[in-house]
Amino acid sequence: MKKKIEFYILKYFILIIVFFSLIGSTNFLKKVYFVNRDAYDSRIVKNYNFCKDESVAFLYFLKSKYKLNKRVKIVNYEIHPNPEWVFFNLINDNIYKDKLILLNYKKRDKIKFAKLEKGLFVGNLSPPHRSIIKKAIFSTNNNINKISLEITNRAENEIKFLLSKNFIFEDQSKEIDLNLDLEKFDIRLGKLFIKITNNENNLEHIEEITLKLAPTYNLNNFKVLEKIDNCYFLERLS
Amino acid sequence: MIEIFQIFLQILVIFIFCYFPQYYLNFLNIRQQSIVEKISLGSIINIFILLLLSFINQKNFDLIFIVLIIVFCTNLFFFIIENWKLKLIDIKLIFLFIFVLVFSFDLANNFKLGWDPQNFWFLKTLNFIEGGDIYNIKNNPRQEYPQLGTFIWAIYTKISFLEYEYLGRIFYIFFFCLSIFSVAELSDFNDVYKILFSSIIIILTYNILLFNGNQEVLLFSIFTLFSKYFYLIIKNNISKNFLNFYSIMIMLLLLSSIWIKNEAMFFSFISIFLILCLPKKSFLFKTSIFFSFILLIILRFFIFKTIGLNNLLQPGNYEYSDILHLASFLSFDRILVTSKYFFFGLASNLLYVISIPIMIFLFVYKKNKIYLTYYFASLILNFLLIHSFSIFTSVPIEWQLKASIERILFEILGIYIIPTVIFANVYSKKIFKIL
Repeated sequence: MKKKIEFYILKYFILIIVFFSLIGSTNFLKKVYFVNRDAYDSRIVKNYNFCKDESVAFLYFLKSKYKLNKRVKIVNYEIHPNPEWVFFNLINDNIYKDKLILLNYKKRDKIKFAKLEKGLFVGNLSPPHRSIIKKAIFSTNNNINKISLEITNRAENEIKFLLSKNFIFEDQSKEIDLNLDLEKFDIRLGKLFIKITNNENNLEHIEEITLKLAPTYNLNNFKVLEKIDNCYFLERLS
Repeated sequence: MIEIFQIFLQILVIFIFCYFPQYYLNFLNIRQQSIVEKISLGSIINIFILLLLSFINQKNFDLIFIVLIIVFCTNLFFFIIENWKLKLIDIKLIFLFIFVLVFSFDLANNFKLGWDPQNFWFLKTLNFIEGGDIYNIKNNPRQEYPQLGTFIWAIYTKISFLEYEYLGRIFYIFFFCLSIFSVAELSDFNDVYKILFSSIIIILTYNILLFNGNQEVLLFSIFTLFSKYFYLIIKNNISKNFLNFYSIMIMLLLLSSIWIKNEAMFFSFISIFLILCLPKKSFLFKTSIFFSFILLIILRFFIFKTIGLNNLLQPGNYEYSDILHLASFLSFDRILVTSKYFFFGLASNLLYVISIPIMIFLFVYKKNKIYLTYYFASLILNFLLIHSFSIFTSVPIEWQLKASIERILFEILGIYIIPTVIFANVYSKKIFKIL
């Protein structure tokens, strides 16, 4: 009888320990309190940040303020999951063609390429994938006549060719026009490399290359409907 | 307060949906089962019903709700009738409920979707929530990914009255906890120690990120239950002649798995291979299992083709992995980097760290060697398969490994809970003497 009682005490003691350690380790009571105190919408802000990363809370804010019931194109300047699901619509073509959302917007004017070895240069920043490369400017005191230029993106062992073209420099200029839209290449990882060669083999004096950038989405072409930190809700100017 | 009530109600509704009445089991000549066992059988049937319903087109959507109401009402009826007179105070059922409840509140506070769910999975779920059907999946990214997990998520979101998406994911929590409680039923312990055993496994495995919308946790639960029924088939030497109840359950589990994630097809194939290697099973049993599985795979591709969905398993990846190019992937560097991340992946899934030494220990000391041979073979084959997934990838290998190896290892982790159960059964008397 005594053994049976001891067994039952042990049995319930174990269960009580399991129960309380579960409640304690997961902060259960606190979490019940938070669910009661914070509405679902305010927990969305807590979970996703307002204007950071995917900025889901900012998108929910726009959706309710502007009563958006169609899809809106979203451009994120950082690498994060695509939050377009906030505006999910069964009909794929249901999209506001005049509206645009920019998240974590960063304006980059240029990207510098340092010399790795003769004729090979590496970019100092991750690929500015929401930009158009307008020009390449060569830092050198000597004249260049002809050049073969190759721009690549290297992520781990994968090499993606973005441009490979011959250029002739006019009027002793040290600039060439490229007009290369990086958005269509969908490159976000790794680094950009520039390789230059020419027949005269006189490129060792080029110490640095600067690429002049223009934003793919120029704010001047849009009316800003909402701006919070680096998140924008834009309407195309007609 | 309404949301708290909704979470309670949601869990109760899921429990009722997944109840499998003893009344039906009697028809199949299955003796009285524990309530946890009945719920785990019911969850398999429930997932299978949802798989069938996921093919219904938009015009007949009412049919889904008619079927669900019928299932719910009959289950509720039998649940009350069969568990009348204080049977509801089943200590395992109460603890299972508590685990699901506690984790559900954790999810209610941390419901941020993961990377892949935001990019692909949740869009499929939204498709079903907004009234779309499997034909509309063509408009979603990654249309080649199967729909079952997202359909379950959508249905359980829709049947909640608040319709918050995370309420649908409570089913994932329920299925995760249930599968572990169900495996614990194999142990020779009393109910209290079964709860203790389940709690330890759950605590070692649980992480709120498992429920961020990724589908791996469903595969984990499916393969956990698979390993349980596989063990029962070996242990009881059943299915000598033809398909029996447990082999049907295994087929339903493997069928569901191939409709949740594409790689499950390969893991399921290994599982089928192990069944084919079982001794003392009739040729008819083995051929029926093998050809049913092949038929299910063909059916999966046929349905995808009929609907007009992409039949490639992973476009953009494994692009050059044909026979001619295989050798170019087999470099020492690639094998080395895969092995490195593979071991990191093992270490982060703590249960492997416990389960593998236990398997080796039991193997060395010749305890239950026959059962363990199958689990050991499955471990080696699955690990080789996971290695090959990474080695033959055509995307940057390190990026692929960082993003996926831990999750893929987790998918099959549940299979290796069984060796810990065997270990506990063999050494439990000694352990509890010490205690």
